[in-house]
Amino acid sequence: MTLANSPNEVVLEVENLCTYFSTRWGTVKAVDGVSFELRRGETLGIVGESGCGKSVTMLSLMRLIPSPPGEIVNGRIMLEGQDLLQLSENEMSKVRGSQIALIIQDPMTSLNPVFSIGSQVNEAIRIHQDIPKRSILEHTLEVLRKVNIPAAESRVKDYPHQLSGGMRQRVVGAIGISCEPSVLIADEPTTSLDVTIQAQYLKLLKDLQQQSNLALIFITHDFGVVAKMCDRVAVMYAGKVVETGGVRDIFNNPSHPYTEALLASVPKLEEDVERLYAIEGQPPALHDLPPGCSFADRCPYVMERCREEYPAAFQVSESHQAACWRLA
Amino acid sequence: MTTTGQPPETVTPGPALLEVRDLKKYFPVTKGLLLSRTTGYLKAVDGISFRVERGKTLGIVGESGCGKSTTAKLLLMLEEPTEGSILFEGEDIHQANSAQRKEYRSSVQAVFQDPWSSLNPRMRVKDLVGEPMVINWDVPHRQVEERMQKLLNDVGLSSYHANLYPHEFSGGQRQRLAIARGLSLNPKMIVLDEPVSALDVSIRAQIMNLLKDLQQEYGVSYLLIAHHLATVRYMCDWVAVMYLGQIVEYADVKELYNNPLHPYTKALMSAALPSHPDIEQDEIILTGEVPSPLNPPSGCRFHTRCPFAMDRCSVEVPETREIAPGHTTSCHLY
Ligand SMILES: Nc1ncnc2c1ncn2[C@@H]1O[C@H](COP(=O)(O)OP(=O)(O)O)[C@@H](O)[C@H]1O
Ligand SMILES: Nc1ncnc2c1ncn2[C@@H]1O[C@H](COP(=O)(O)OP(=O)(O)O)[C@@H](O)[C@H]1O
Ligand code: SF4
Ligand SMILES: [Mg+2]
Ligand SMILES: [Mg+2]
Repeated sequence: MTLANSPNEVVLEVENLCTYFSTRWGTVKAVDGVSFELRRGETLGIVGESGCGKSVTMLSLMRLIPSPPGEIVNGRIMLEGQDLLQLSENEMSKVRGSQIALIIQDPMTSLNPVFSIGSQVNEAIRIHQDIPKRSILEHTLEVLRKVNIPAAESRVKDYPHQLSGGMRQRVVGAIGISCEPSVLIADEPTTSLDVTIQAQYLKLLKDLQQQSNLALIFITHDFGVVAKMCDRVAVMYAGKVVETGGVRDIFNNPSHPYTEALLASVPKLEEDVERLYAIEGQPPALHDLPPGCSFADRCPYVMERCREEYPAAFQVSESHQAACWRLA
Repeated sequence: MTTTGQPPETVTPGPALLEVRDLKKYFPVTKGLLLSRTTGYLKAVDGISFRVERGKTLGIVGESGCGKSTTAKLLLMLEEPTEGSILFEGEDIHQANSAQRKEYRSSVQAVFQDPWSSLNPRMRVKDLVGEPMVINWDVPHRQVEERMQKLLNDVGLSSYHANLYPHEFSGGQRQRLAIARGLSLNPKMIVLDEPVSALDVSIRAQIMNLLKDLQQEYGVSYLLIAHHLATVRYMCDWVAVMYLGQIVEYADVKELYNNPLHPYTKALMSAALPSHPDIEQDEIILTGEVPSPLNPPSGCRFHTRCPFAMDRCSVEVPETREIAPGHTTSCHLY
């Protein structure tokens, strides 16, 4: 690959990804035609309410969808020139961790309590590289230092319960970067972290990104994380990307009614908000999606056409698209 | 001057609905056979004072472990204070007779973060909401039934929901249910411990707006414990910032957000996430974590993490000073 190290090269290109689950209610279209791309050094935020398909999208990229009941039924996932969906399980296990890594930002559930942090950090190294014991230790220490674990030499034998919450968070980060992946996916914690610990963690990820020109994907429901961290945004609703754009496109000119509503429903740190917008109702069940726009039942602008036909993605500007009939 | 926060009397004269004076809760730390030997105390709440006005909301913010939930439990009489007093409508609740205490208990209700744990899964909605009335009030069944229907309606549920069990509800609906139950005895105050942090963004807005509407309608006061600073700004009239069992800053919400004084408050604000990508924030990233309340730092408890710490900070306990009307802080910089 001649472009391998060009700084703005596209590292990941997802095209029309569809991941369905068969359940007793019918086929759950958890991810239904998702496309996006990611360049080196770039941060993409994937935002949306719980159940909209964020985690299933990421698990699909990692090829970690439990099957049955799940199946990637369609799409392409091009990572540094190879289609992950064409790889054998054996080939995929070499890619996982070393080229694309997923970290669940929940230090309580993502560390194994019975293994030392050292062995958890170097697990991926041991799988991917055939290197002598001593250099495994050296590598482990180096990774722990990168995530600012003080006194790494003595910490490496500690177990997760011996570390504070913030330190565990860093170890989770260390596991993610241990094999120097090109793409790192950070899925949001299920429990809310203290703001101070969250700030330390976000700063750490930014620093790591700058050191190695890492491409980052943040999965979150928090527009604050997006504002602080992301260059580009994809807003998901009911298994589909309904709007994508640069972070300023999204904040200054939200063009899908769902994005607009979500932004108006969060209180602001810096200014008084008279009244938050509360989106009525709930997202539709994914096994029984209405024809037409999935947001129609909750949309203040709904028109007849919205209930009949799924809206195409319209170009708002060169860097900005939204799937809404108002833009037709 | 004491080392604890004084309620800012200048702003609202007359007795507050609730006033807390120099409240402390020390948990004994035990060792030995049958944990018989007390080796020290964990000072979970260490001399806090504040007031909650009628129909208003006081917010308490701070990192985990700073004593917010212990404060809530003290107010709900689920814990006995080690020292200090809680005055409700001017009366000290720990000096009160049992009838007055019972009255207090029904006047102060609670809604917690996790609606799962606070709702008995085996009870139907109508019983969950009706139970407090049946236990506390001597009123005919029909009246309980009517009020139950009205409460469900108030929180945006319908009478159809009355026969369901909590597990048949979504997270947001369960929180509505917990609020209906909290309102059932016509309380004067509700303690809300992280009421929206387990909910999805769009549901958060629904619940916050509901709480505001109910406050308008019934004049109920809230004590809101939250760690999300934007939520506190939206919901509260007054805010107390806690660190290691103490209140380090106390002001009305506008004043606190426009003019934060204490370095800890400033650090919290700079760590909170911005609402727009173009907002530049100060970078006061606090290193390390909250020290143990078993052995809090000398002098100013924040000095081990404070970017502005001076020599005297590790030695002298800062006094609480009123810097602007109603705005108090405990820091040697002021
Ligand atoms: N193993 C599974 N079996 C059936 N449905 C699933 C499974 N995993 C996820 N889903 C469904 O896929 C949808 C998307 O889930 P998810 O990606 O976890 O949402 P998010 O991360 O955005 O909260 C949900 O409706 C969920 O019920
Ligand atoms: N019943 C108890 N026994 C001993 N220590 C306790 C008890 N309850 C709380 N603590 C301690 O008191 C401190 C304050 O806890 P808490 O009030 O729950 O803080 P917050 O709600 O601000 O996170 C913590 O260090 C906690 O471990
Ligand atoms: S397509 Fe119609 S229903 Fe869907 S978001 Fe646009 S206006 Fe609303
Ligand atoms: Mg998820
Ligand atoms: Mg708590």
